[in-house]
Amino acid sequence: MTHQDPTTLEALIAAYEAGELDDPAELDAVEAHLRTNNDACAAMVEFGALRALTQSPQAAAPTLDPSRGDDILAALHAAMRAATTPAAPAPAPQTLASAAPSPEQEILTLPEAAALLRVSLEQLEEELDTLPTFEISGAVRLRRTRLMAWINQREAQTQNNRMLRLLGD
Amino acid sequence: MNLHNFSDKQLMVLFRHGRTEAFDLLFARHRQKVFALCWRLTGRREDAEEALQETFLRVARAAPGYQPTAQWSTWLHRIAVNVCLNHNRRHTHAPQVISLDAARPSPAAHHGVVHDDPLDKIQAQETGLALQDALQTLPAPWRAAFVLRVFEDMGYSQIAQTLDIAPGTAKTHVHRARAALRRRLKPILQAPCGPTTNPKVLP
Repeated sequence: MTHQDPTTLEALIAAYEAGELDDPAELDAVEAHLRTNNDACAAMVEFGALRALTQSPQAAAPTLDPSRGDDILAALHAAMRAATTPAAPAPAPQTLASAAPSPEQEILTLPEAAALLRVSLEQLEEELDTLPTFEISGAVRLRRTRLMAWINQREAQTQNNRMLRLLGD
Repeated sequence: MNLHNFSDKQLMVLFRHGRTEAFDLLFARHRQKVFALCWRLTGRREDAEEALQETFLRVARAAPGYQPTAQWSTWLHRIAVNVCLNHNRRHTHAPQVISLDAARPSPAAHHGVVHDDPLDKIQAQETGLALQDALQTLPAPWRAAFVLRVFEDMGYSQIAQTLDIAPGTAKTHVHRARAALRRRLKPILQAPCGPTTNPKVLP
């Protein structure tokens, strides 16, 4: 042990104090050294004191200020938005869906709604229970804005289901 | 869908698929821990806040290619440590002067410890600052390994994964860090001792 580099010896004593010295030969050597060397003994006590210090309230990290945390999150959102390059939208065909709606087109018939959704009338009629329709003298109509909200809802639901399937894998 | 029931990995997958609220929840869950880690590694509150932001920005950027193979917290720690090491390479700050001003909140206050004696309070502050300053004098790899071991309670294999070193090297770093801290903090830690009072060697 006397031929040990002091730095290495100190590290061995640190490991011993932490109960992390595994090599039996090193273990025996350190213990023998501790029995005969006052400085080594003092080092042991100081390592214990260092351990106690790191576990004490004095060593606690400060708390992140909540408003600062909120600022950081806002900055992250701004950075993520800036980094997102929106895909160039495909040129929309001039259909009932894409043209700026005239007052007459604010209200849709079922066939017009089916055309907007690019499904058959039969397929749309299967969703009548969930669609935001209203009737006037037996004629079924939908407000365009309510249909758009229904589409958003259906989109989110499909996304959720997809996520749940992904997470279940 | 209650996102609070999801694990970190699951939230990351959700975020990868466009659910930014999943990212917000990950940030809320981990921001204090990451801030504390960055504070210990950079030594300054302002730098720690900057490192926290950079860490989560990297998390966001990594989302498209994220594969839930490793433990998420290990992956997060790895990013945070790299951010702090890069930061420290770019900036060198002098250790903070221990001041008797109360401008800096007492670490004890975070744990609701009340020092009735003003001198005790000052001493507690000085001790905490002395430890933090001593940490900043360590070589970066030793400091990172020590902080992860002592304050993040990581095992050596996890430290090794986080720092991309061998477990044996991680152990050596930690013990050398302890030895260096002991030398630097000797006035605070010193106690008289004789061989017969050695607590571990007594028969």
